[in-house]
Amino acid sequence: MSLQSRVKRMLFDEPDPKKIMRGIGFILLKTALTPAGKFDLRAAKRFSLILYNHARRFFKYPQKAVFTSLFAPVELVHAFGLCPFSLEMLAGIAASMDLAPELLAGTEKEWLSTDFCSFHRAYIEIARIGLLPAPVFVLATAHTCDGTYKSFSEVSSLMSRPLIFLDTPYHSDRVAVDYLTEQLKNAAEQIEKVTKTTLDREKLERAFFFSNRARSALLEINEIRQNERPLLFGEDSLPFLTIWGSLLGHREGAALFERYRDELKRRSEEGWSQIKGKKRVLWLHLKPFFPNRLLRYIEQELGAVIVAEEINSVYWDELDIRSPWESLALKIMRNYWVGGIEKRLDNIRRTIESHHIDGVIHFSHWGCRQSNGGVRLIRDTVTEYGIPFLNLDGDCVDERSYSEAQYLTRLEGFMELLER
Amino acid sequence: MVCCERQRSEKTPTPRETGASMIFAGIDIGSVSTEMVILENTVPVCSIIMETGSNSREAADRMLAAACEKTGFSLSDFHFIVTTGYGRKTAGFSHRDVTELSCHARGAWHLNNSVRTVIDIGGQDSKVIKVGKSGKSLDFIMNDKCAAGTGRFLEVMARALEVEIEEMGKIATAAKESVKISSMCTVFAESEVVSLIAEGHPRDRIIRGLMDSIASRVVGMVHRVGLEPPLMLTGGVAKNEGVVRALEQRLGTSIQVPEEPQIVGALGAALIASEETAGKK
Repeated sequence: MSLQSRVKRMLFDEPDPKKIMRGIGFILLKTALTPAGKFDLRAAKRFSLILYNHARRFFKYPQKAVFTSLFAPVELVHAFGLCPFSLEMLAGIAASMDLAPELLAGTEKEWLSTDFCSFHRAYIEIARIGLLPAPVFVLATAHTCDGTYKSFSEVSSLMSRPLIFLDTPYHSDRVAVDYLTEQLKNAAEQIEKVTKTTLDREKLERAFFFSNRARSALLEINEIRQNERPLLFGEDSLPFLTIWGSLLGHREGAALFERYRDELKRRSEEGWSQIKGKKRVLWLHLKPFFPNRLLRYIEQELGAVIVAEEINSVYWDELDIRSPWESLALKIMRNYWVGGIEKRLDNIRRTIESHHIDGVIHFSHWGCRQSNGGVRLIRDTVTEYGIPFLNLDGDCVDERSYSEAQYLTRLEGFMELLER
Repeated sequence: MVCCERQRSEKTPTPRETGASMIFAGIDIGSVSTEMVILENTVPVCSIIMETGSNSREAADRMLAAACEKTGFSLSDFHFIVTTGYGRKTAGFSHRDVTELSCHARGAWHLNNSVRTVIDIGGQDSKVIKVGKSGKSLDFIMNDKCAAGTGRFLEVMARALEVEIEEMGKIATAAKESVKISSMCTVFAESEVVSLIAEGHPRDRIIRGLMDSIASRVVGMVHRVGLEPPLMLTGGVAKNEGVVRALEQRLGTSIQVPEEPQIVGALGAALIASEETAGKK
């Protein structure tokens, strides 16, 4: 039996968060011992180390663990000295470890509809079978996805832990900002009650400081990537969301993005030109997380390179400690998933122009109405620029509906359009 | 099926020997059938259609052997070979592989320069391609990752109805009415057909209903790319006049069907092969 099969059997037959923590510790050690030269960038090694270390911390100190939804204000969690982890990203990590088919099959036994988003189904099952330590509480927002409330309620109930929920309004007006500001204040009070601590203003200020540093570095990274020569594969930058989904507001998140920024700057100054792809692609929405070669195929065999990802857009302004709750509320409200599709389309337009995009690929995740519901309008927006648009229908987590040859034909056809 | 103007003869010198002409080939290795078109300069001289079977690499080898047998050529006589289709990367002797999207666009455009939209319904997928004035693909849509609206769908239904697949088109055309088939899924549609037979619905009306079902899938794709006549239907399913008629009715425009729609992808591949060499001259 292969090591991977043994790990799988251990996870499903005797789920034990302590064993998982030891496993993560082993991977962490192995990564630490791997020479940095084996990674495309030195920052990429740092990325893995930070991610594994964060995951280990999450398992090692369950009294500090908090489950969060992807766009939740994690700065607030860090201000309490707690350890947030996005459940959507955990589902993605499970998919990358080839665990999703078994997890999803488990949810089917529990009457969860197969039409429901596989990210949600996977993390509900992860929580149900006891792969995770029981957290202090569960924090979710109503955006980007209307399923989040239901799924996080389910996780909260399964683990008998309180759900702190922020009801993100649809429209971004003054009333909406005030409504969300009030909720954030209440959320902080709820956390104080649950943790029996008091929010330390200095710690909140520090979380804002690190969040702003990370934001600033990410902005610079995006700007450097406008460079005529591609400096980074999209395959390496798409996973950034695992960091900003959990470590925005933490020293490690800020330091990591700054390291990426510095290395990319150096590459730019030195005229580094090892990425051969000539056609510049904007990638919209997420990517399949299970083992596959889609991105590698585009970037290393077809001669295109992903120079910008929608998911790594910096859409919010700096956080302001003088009005912390309103500042966090505004950050949430500025998200391009909140409200109508216009914000998303404007962001796409800006990126096409700033990054000199030759073609756009949208990955329509099965069951994600937020992403695939707007494909027609996105296509119309992209074609305004006279550049090709490819919509890939698929599932980011469930590899059972994945047929690689079908995708490769679509990608090659897209490439032929780019080269026409 | 073989259609060869250039027959093998012991005395006929090969093109390499005479140096008089250049030979190009396009091979479309699909999930159900494999087609090959051979050009002498830019003129088609031979086309062959055979079943792919379970191994696309072997299918490509068998096809090449059959072509050499029929024409008297050897592999070295071919100046350039382009493969396309599902198994395009498996042929060891290919000089280049190109997607069936570009090949169908190129092949259809060669047959009629005015064609602006190509609908290709193959064994396991269907696609709609917008064709530019120079014969290049401008945009495309492929079906979802299931067999609805493909040749495989028809195969399964023909088996359930116990009719020959080749007869289905004529039967559908003769039917006065159609029975609605609700299921998109091939497996569910098969059981729906079995139920309809058991309920006593005439076979011809069920078959016409199946043609309508395929057409409704494909018409949605045509509109997504943008309906721009003239349209050409290619691929094996184009031989089914029931599907052609159902598509024409739904689209409100006539559809051109080439004399041998199944070889259009291979023809396009052969033409791209000839252009490849011309570009290098």
